[in-house]
Amino acid sequence: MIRNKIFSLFILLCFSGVAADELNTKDQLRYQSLIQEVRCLVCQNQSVAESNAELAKDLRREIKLQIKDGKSDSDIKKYLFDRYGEFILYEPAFSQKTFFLWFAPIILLMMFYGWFKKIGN
Amino acid sequence: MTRRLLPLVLFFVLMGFLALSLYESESELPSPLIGKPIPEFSLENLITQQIHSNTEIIGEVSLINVWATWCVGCEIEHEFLVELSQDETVGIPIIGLNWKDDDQLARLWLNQLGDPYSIVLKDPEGKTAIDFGVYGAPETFLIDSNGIIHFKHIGPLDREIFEKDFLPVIGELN
Amino acid sequence: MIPELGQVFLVAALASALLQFLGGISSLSKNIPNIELFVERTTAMQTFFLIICFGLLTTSFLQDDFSVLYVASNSNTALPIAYKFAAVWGGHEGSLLLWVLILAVWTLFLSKDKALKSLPELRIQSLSILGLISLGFLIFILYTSNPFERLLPIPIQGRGLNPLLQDPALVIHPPTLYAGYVGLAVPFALAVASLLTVNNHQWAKHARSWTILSWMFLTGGIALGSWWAYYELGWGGWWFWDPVENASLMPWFVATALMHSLIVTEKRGLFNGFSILLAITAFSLSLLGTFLVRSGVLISVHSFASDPQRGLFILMLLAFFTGSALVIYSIKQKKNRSEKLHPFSRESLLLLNNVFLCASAGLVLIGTVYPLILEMLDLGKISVGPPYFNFVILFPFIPLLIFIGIAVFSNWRNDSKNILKKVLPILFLSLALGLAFPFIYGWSSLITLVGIYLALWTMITGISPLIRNQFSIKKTLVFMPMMLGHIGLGLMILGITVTSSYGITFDDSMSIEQSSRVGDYEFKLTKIGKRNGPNYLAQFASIEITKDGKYIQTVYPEKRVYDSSSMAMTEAGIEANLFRDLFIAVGEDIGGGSWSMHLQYKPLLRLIWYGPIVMMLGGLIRVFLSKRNEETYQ
Repeated sequence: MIRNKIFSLFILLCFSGVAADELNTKDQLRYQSLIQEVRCLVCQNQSVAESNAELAKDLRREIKLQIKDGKSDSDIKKYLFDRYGEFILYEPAFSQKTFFLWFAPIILLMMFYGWFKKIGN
Repeated sequence: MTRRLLPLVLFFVLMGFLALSLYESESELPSPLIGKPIPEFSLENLITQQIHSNTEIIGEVSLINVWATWCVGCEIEHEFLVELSQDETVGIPIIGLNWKDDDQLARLWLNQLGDPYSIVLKDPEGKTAIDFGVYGAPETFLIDSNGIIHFKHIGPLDREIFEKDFLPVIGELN
Repeated sequence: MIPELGQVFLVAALASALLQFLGGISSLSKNIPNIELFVERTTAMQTFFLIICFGLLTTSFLQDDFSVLYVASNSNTALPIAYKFAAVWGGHEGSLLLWVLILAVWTLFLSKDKALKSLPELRIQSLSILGLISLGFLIFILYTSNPFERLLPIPIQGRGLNPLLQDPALVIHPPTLYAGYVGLAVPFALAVASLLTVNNHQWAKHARSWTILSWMFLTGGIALGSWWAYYELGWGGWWFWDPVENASLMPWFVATALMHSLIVTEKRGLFNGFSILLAITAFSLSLLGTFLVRSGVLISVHSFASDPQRGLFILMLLAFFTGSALVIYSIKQKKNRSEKLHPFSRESLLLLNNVFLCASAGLVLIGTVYPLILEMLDLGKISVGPPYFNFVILFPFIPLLIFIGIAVFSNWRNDSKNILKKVLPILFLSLALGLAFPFIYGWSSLITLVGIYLALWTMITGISPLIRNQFSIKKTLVFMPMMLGHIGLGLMILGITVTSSYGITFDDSMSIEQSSRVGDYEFKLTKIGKRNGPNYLAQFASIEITKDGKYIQTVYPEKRVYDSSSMAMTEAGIEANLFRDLFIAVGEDIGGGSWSMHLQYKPLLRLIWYGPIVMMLGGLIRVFLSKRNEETYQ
């Protein structure tokens, strides 16, 4: 943790000036896709990428900082999950209660295939 | 026949769920932090400018109230908070967390409307608020003497809610 | 006076709808002379009264009559006149009035359908059912959502129209979408009327054009909504899998399936039960969509003011119409005429793809209501969003696109043995063309390549009848609807794949005279200024776009604050051509003369909307062709 902070401080010093708070191209890509998967809790149904709410801005800043700290996508998702619960992530985690949700494509295709066979004959 | 009735049954089950959902009161987001210790932080005192860490403020059953001068709900609950802080029978300290606010305005607010807080910490960047899972002020947490979070209320606090949701838990903790 | 008059006509329309329904249904058991004329007349009357109602409400808007609650909540004197027209359907009450008006107009057109006159029983009963649907919604309007309700005391000024809705595309988006939703009532009514009367597959021939017409409106409405969201909501997305978007997508999938299933039912007399079920489902999903938008049970960007009473009423209507249709179906539907089908005959392939379309609708439905159901069962709150839908939709869509191309080459009845031989050259052609994309845009991922292949495959197989007939338009005219439909779909899939795989989004802070680079493009902020609109204040940026030092265009993205609301609206700056979109939205002033900017480079983005236009064109040709055929029959 402290190491990370020193590291980010170092980065900050290296690039101080205009580009200080900007990410490199690869991280920018990660950042953009990540903020689209995080729900803005105070908005109706918007991701933090889309919202201008204060909370969305804070979360964007936090995500950006953590990317700069070298955290992985799953680290960041866990960080959010631990604080706000599963509602904040647009991709529901696979668990007992989302079993049917995630298997829906397979179940539906099988069901409809049976239907197809039945009508087709 | 059963095969023909299946779509009908499925349809009415779905209708049932949708009808029920109409009357579901807007439920709050359950906090995953319930039963867990308050997050680590070191924040500046709004009044004395001293730095306090999370371990320094615990030790008693207390409330942590997240507020800001820009928040409408905070204005509504403020009177009750002042009242509560003076209520000897309950005798619960309220720790304020001033969220993303202007220091001067916040101090002015406390001077004018009364200061219900035993200590007010400020979080201008909103980082600690994220650690608390705060998404809209006001929010009020109930913590025990070890700093474990037992309950969280979102929205303005009033006597009714306090007596219904907080008092029983406080009684148990004492 | 005008609002009271409107109320009177609303009641008159209700009475006509009641007569229209009762007249039709009573002729089911006994023979009543002139009943056909009676139903026809009451239909015309109902439409007439509703047009007057709508006209009167519009008048109230134009006169700024704030004694009418609905006008006061959706308009004010500063609103530009064009938006005063649009404000008529800007809120809940008015949009429901528009809903029944469109339903009445569809019903009127159906009653004028010459070809249907050969089947008087089917005609009377379907008009009667449409009368019943209208009756239900008119009661709903009068009971819970009367647009003519008065307001006392009369305010001096109205609250104004939601700034988000003050936009040309949003003026036509709701009517177009409604025309699609409501139009699906026509095949629904025909299907149920058929079960009640002739109970054979004759309805299919008549339902087809109506299905295609409403499908066209639905396609157009969805595409318009997506386009509007892209340039108006401020972050350059074009599809969010928001519950309300899903609500329009589900009937679209099923209507598409219905359109294709009706071909088989009409031409071969097969799958009649399947077509009937699809017709029932398509309209039910439209009603479900209306419910989801109006009730506010799901958290959506589009949420209107929610009111459980209104939601419950729509739900009751939905339960009644769908429930009784399904009951009638399970009692009346005879066993399908069975016939052994070859697996690669056109019949089976069309059926197979309809099944994939139904599965797509099912997946969207599950994803949309799943969080709701979990919450009802006290299993916590979850979010199901784009990552889920983008993934699961591939399961039905990849096979769907594969079989589309094969189905084009198949024949009725028989198993064309050499179908694979015919298909192989096209397969190779699309593979070869597909390889060009990684060369142009660079390697992305396997799924991108698959998407590109399938898009090209759909387009090339779609165009193949033209190639086979030596590019003779005359000979291929009958294939034109299919060709355009498939080409449009291919274009859309190509647009979606390329733009999501190769698009670049960049958030940057910019100050004057400073530039930012996205892909090959250079964006330079040259000026920040203020300007006054008719009912808003705008802050605009002037941004110069160059590529390799060559000047392309200067765009002026804005941030508007409307007088009637404190919310800031983003008007993006967009520079677009067929091959790419450049998108700039102004964020906020972050101090020190710097502004945060949202920049996007989106290759082939336009195809996402041009595709649906091509599809709609196909539908239009189909409707004209069938009209022409009818004339030649007579």
